[in-house]
Amino acid sequence: MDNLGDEDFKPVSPKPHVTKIEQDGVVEITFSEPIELVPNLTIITNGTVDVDGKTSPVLELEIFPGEDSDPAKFNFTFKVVTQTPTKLTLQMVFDNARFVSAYGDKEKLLVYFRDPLIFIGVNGLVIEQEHRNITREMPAQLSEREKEVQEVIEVI
Amino acid sequence: MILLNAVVTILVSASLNELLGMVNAYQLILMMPLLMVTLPPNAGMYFAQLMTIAAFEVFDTKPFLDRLLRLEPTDPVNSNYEAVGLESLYFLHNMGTLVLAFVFFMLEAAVSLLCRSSSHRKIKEFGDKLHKQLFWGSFITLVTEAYSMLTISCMINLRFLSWGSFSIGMMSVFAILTTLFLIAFPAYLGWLLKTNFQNLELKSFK
Repeated sequence: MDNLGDEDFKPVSPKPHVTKIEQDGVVEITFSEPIELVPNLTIITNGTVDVDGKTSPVLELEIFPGEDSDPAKFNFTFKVVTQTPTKLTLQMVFDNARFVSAYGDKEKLLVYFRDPLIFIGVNGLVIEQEHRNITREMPAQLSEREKEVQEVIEVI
Repeated sequence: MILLNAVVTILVSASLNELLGMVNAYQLILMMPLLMVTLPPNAGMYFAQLMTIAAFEVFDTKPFLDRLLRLEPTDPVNSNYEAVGLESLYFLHNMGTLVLAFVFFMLEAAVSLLCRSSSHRKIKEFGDKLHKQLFWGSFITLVTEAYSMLTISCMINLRFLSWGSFSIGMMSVFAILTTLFLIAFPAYLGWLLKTNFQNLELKSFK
């Protein structure tokens, strides 16, 4: 009887998941457990880490092209918009947004958490190796012109 | 002034049934992107906004359900499903605020039962009145309005049935039971109306 409910109190490592990708490039990543806030958000976009002797960004985003897509058309940059203990919101900006998931096989967004020490759970546990690479299908993206129209509509 | 008067008259005189009928048609139109079509991004955003009205999405119940049932998030079937608000594989997630409507109905039923078992005359009368309203009023309206959303939410969960944990298993059981209910409900209503066809005009039946 003493062990009843022990599993509920056992600390669990945070598990990230891409919960939403908006048509305007906003990406929402949620964590199953609260994580420590990063004091300076630029560390997430500009920070690097050595992995197996190779320098990689602490958080890497990659577009995995669909069958009929041209990978050269998916150049993008991203920045961190907000961070809360359970949610990380990113903004992706594509050079040619209209080509993303435009037809046929959809593109996929791959997110790599390269540096486990940046995203540490409040309980002190890091993201486990098997959950450091996450993916989600990309919806078709608004072009710059369409984004401008959308902003005007929202203001109205 | 005449135009304004006409609009106000239409708004006031339009019955709730007509409005709900419109929502039904609206739901069907908004489900169109679920067919395998290439959905332009601006159309996707438009559909997503309209779907919050058609699915009676007053507020996001997903975080509450996740915390309550300790559910792990899932990806949607595909981005078209996501665009119309079907963002998960779980039945209760996709139901959204409608879940609360069903919980409210259960509470209403419990209150009705309690009141009917009371010895106080007025409370008993209230219980009887609530009991009559319950099935032919709120419940039928709720099920009819939510029928398409219920069906699609069930079908998605049935397609990806899983028994990985207690919560996921419970979600699967909910989906199976609701599917059986959705099949039986119109058949039961049809049978009830057919057997009581002669009595429909009687005051006691109403």
